[in-house]
Amino acid sequence: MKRELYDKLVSYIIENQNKFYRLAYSYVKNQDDALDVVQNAVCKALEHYEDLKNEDAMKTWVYKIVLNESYTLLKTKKRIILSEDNSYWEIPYEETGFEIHDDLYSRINQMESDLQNIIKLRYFEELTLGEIAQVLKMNINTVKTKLYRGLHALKISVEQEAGV
Amino acid sequence: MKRMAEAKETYDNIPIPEELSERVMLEVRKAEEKHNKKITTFRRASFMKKGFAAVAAIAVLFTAGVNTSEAFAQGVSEIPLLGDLARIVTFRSYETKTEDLQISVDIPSVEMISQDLQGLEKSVNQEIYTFCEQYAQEAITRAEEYRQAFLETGGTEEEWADHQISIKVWYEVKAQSDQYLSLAVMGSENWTSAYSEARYYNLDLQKGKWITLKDILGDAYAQTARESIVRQAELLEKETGMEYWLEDWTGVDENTDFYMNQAGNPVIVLEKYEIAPGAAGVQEFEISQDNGSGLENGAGKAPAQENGSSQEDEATAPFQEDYEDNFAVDTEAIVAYAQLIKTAVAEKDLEKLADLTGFPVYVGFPEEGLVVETREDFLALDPQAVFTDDMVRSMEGCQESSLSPSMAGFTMYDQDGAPSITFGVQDGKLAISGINY
Repeated sequence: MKRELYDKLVSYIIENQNKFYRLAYSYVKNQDDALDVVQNAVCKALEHYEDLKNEDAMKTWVYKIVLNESYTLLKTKKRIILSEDNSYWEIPYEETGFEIHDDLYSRINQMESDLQNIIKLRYFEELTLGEIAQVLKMNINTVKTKLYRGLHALKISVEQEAGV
Repeated sequence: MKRMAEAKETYDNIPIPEELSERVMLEVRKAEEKHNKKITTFRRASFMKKGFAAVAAIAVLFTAGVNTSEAFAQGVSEIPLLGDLARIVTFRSYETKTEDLQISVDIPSVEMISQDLQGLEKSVNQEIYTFCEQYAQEAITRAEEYRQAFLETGGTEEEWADHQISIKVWYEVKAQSDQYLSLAVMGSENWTSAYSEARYYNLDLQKGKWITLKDILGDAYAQTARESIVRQAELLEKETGMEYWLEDWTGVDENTDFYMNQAGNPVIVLEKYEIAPGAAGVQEFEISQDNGSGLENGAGKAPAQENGSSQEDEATAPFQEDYEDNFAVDTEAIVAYAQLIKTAVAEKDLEKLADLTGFPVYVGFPEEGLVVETREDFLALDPQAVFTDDMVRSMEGCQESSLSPSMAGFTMYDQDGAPSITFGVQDGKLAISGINY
């Protein structure tokens, strides 16, 4: 039975590799790093697959690993700044890519970690709030609050987004 | 909301490097090997039995599964769009090679674009998937047994490797239209033809359900089909000398396999030994629905040969008879086609006429002739301009039984010589190429 779960995990990873790549890329901003992140994430996921309890948890579990590996790489390359209390990180202005556009996508990439993660998972990867809560190990209400805070910071009206 | 959609688009447009797949597979393989070392009772891949995998590392090449809309955008393994109602994509496509076995599996999956048909979609795909997996698994078991028997009776490993055992699971789109989708999924192995299997999936896309023979041929379907098949088999007996077992044959019932061809006719598939000796192979009979004119577009044809290596024969979807040129077409087919055209014109039915037309088509209106590029453009024409009184009269008066071929094809007109409709062989089948006034 374990074997079956393992195989499903492998399939899931292979089928969704593009999504993981894009998510990683949105953090690390270049191809080589994004490839490294995905490779590391796959490695970790397969190595620790026994931590995976059941198939239902698979999706959020893998996303969590991808985010962690992205973060790890940024930390390793010192491309992020930790907040004073270590509760979140930010990508400094200079690191956000060659060209800074003042478009929404760029601004999302400049947000602090929690807000950025939530916005991306919600709108780019289309996870449900419940799934996001699992990925980020947060209470779902916290997720909602931060989501709205994030949208507010991006100056997107919450009413508009509620219709999304 | 628009801004967020734009942001998402920027995100979705992040290009995927080719290298990604290699990197992912590298990790998959590494992890696979680690696991094999750890626990010897694991099966190495979900399809390989332990004994059989007693060879060096298996190279498993998956192509990324494509049952997500994101992958569609990438055009990975996408099969033509089928009308606007369904798409077939390859759900899982992989090739496995070991030193002495090659397995190639393409499992199709149907995606219904309409949300209403999700129930049908699930059940179709579940069935297809189950069939494919099961077939592949059984074929592997058979291969393993064969191998053991081979070795036990004195064969060597080298000789075995020379066998080039290969198992193939694949599918063909038999027919597609806005109304229906007919899909055949096949499994075969190259060392024995005894176990080849085919399953047919005929879907009514409008109503969201399976199509049965009864749906197509009516309540008397068993009789209609039987009569048609008996007629065709008798013809075949004369032509080929092959013996058909017509008295003992139990006929057609709700379990009989069939698929729809592009002409919209059901093609009954009879298993080996069902109606003829095994050497004749699987028999197919098209039941053309000419309502009593007795025309059979194709007598029973035996499809691909029994050994798995000629799978390439089935690579192209069979339409009606494949014609080399206009001179090769049989009279019955010409007459039948001309009659279809006549009906369409008499009914002033633009859609019916479009169905019979090959694109681009030249439409020589009196004021100005046009080249009509697509079916949509054709349907946008003014029916009154197309179905003029003269055209209707001319088609009515045309003697379809005395049409003769020319390089351009067959031209239909009455004694006045005009207006006329010309049709001929295009891409192997008949289609209208010109309409003149």
